Amino acid sequence: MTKNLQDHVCEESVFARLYEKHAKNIHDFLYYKFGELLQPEDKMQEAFVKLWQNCKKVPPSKAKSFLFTVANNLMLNEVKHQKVVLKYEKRKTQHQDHQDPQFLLEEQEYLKKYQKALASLTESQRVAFLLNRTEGKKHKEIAEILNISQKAVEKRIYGALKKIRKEIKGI
Amino acid sequence: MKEEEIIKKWLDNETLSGEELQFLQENEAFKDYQKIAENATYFKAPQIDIHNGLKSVVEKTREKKSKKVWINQLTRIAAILVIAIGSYFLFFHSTQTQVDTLANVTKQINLPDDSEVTLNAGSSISYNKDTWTGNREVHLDGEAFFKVAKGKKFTVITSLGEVSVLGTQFNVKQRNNSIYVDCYEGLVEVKINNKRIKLPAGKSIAFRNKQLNEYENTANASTWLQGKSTFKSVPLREVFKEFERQYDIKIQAKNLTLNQDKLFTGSFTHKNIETAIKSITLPFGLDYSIQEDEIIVSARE
Repeated sequence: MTKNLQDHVCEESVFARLYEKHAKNIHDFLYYKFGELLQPEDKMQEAFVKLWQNCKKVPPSKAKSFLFTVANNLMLNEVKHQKVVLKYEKRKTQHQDHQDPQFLLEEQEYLKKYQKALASLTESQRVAFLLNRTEGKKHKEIAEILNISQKAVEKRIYGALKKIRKEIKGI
Repeated sequence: MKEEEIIKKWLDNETLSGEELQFLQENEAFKDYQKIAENATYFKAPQIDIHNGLKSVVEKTREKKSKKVWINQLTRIAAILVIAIGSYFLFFHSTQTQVDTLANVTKQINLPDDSEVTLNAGSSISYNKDTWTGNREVHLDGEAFFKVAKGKKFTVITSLGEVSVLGTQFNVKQRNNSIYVDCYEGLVEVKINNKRIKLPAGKSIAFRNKQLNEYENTANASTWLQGKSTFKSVPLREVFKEFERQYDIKIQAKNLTLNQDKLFTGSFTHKNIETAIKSITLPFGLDYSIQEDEIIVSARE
């Protein structure tokens, strides 16, 4: 604790550690929440610049929530409730030989539906679900990143899963 | 309920028991869930470059920082200028009025409430015009005669002490380390070294070498107002100083030590330099010679 107090965000080593620890999480958080159209990476970078400018006022223990709040606000300043569209990558599969055109077409259809389903989720559902499923984060880690309880994380992910299924199935 | 628990467990990538797996396999929605979970990786966020990202943040902050420092400097300079100009107007311009006299000059000043001050040569006085009605305070360095209009307490502040009155005529003289106060009318209160002394009309007080003396003043107003300097048991050195002020001339002592025990009682005129120097040197048996810009005083051989 005492060491924490002496640690100063203004110190470059401390700042670099914070960057290494949080940069990816913030970026992913912004990306899954708002989509890629609004340059989540730029916003994340800007949040760190802001942190540096305020390094005397923000103790290291508060740096994470400062960064998330600033990044989120930067996004909100631009976002006007645009529809979030997440890009899906072209898969470079090893099993390509075994896939017939019919299958590929079906898969394309499926991903399109999936994309729409993701867009229909709430922001909090989408963030929790994708952090879990694509970043492979445990519920506990997500709870820490988002500053919510583990129960809430579970609820969001489960809710997202059910909703995506419904959307894809068209139920 | 059980289904939800198990699916949550599965979602958190925890190992499931055979029984639980069995349960999921039998669930018809689970197949869909599996597909959804598998295909979620398609939507993975692009990788970011932590190393270069940090570098560019540091570069950006450097730019902003140096810019900020530069602006900071400018604001500092501007602030200092504002304070300097502000205090110039505050202390010298609007409120404080200062009157100085050079050697060989006396001046008559009317204070805002029609109190009169006559300033002797080589003295200066300052007072605050704006707060005058509530606070009659005059800072004095040198000698001045006051004719105070009736009103609130009137205070003369010198580096050695304060003199306050209600409405009267009095003289304050503060030169170097001595102060003389003569009261001609009314009552004067003198505060020296935190000691308060009430001075009635006709009394004078002298504070010299940390010693306080009270004595009667003979003339009915300060003699310098009539063009004469009067002394009572004052060291010769001080008398010469006053002489230098009145005639704007230097006095040089030759083979002569002006120590404290040479005390002068008497007066010299401000109108004739020869008569004046004579009236000082004669009682002590000294010789003098008047040059262009100085007088040499020497012991008689």
